[in-house]
Amino acid sequence: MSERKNQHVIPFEGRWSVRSAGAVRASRTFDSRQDAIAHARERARRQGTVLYIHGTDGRVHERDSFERVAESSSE
Amino acid sequence: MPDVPFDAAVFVNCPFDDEFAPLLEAALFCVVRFGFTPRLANERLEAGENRLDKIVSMVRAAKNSIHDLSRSQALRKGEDFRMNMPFEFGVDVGRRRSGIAALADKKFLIFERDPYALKRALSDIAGQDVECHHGEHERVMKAVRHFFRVEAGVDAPGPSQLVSEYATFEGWMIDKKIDEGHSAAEARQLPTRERLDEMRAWVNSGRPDQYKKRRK
Repeated sequence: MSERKNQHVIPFEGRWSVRSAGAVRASRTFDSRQDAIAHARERARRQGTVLYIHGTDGRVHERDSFERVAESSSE
Repeated sequence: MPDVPFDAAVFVNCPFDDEFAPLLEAALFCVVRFGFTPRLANERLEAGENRLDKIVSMVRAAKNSIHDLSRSQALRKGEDFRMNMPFEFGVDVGRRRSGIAALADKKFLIFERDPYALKRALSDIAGQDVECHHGEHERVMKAVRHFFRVEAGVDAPGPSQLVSEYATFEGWMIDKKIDEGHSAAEARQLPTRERLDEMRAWVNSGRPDQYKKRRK
């Protein structure tokens, strides 16, 4: 079973990549930000982790938690 | 700020405003990640300290410098020309050319926003290598990474990994701040100085993949 990792959607070289926290490389890369978010959201939901959506400036613009504990917020 | 060895200090001369903050923070992340100590031109003054004296002391104490001269063009009609950055760059050039042997190998990374913009505004630096960032944090990180890899010989990860690490840090910082009592929105809007403190904390913690919540 793969380790549960938070998911990041980040801009990279003109596209949008989905990367697990601490991973060296992207797990997948998309032309569309929305497609990247949908993919990362599904991964985070399945693993019960946190999704961070970064803006083109690199900062986190949205955080969406799927942790299966007390916290279950969506911003 | 405690004394920082000359080789470890990096003088950072750039705009300090909300618009530029993401680029500055991306550069600071690389500097801290590579084990250097950034000295910012807007560091708080001690009582009675003169601003120019403070700048000169930082320039004198740093082997490496990052000069962002991308505001050589006004962004809006009627905007005042920002002369602090080119002035402080000039101070640094003066120190390097002062004839003091120890300062002759000071290294500069110079940024402009778009190609050749600086040549029109500051033709005296013709012949210097200047990096364009086009206002993009990725380009800043790549240029800072290459600069420290080549000029300081740091063991730097590739640009793609560095960008991943920055994203990992951002997530770690947001969760840490929420755990410390910030709302998610507040955690996303931290001032650069506090973000810099968290960059140091993240590196000192061994660059963790995720923040571990405190037991309450």
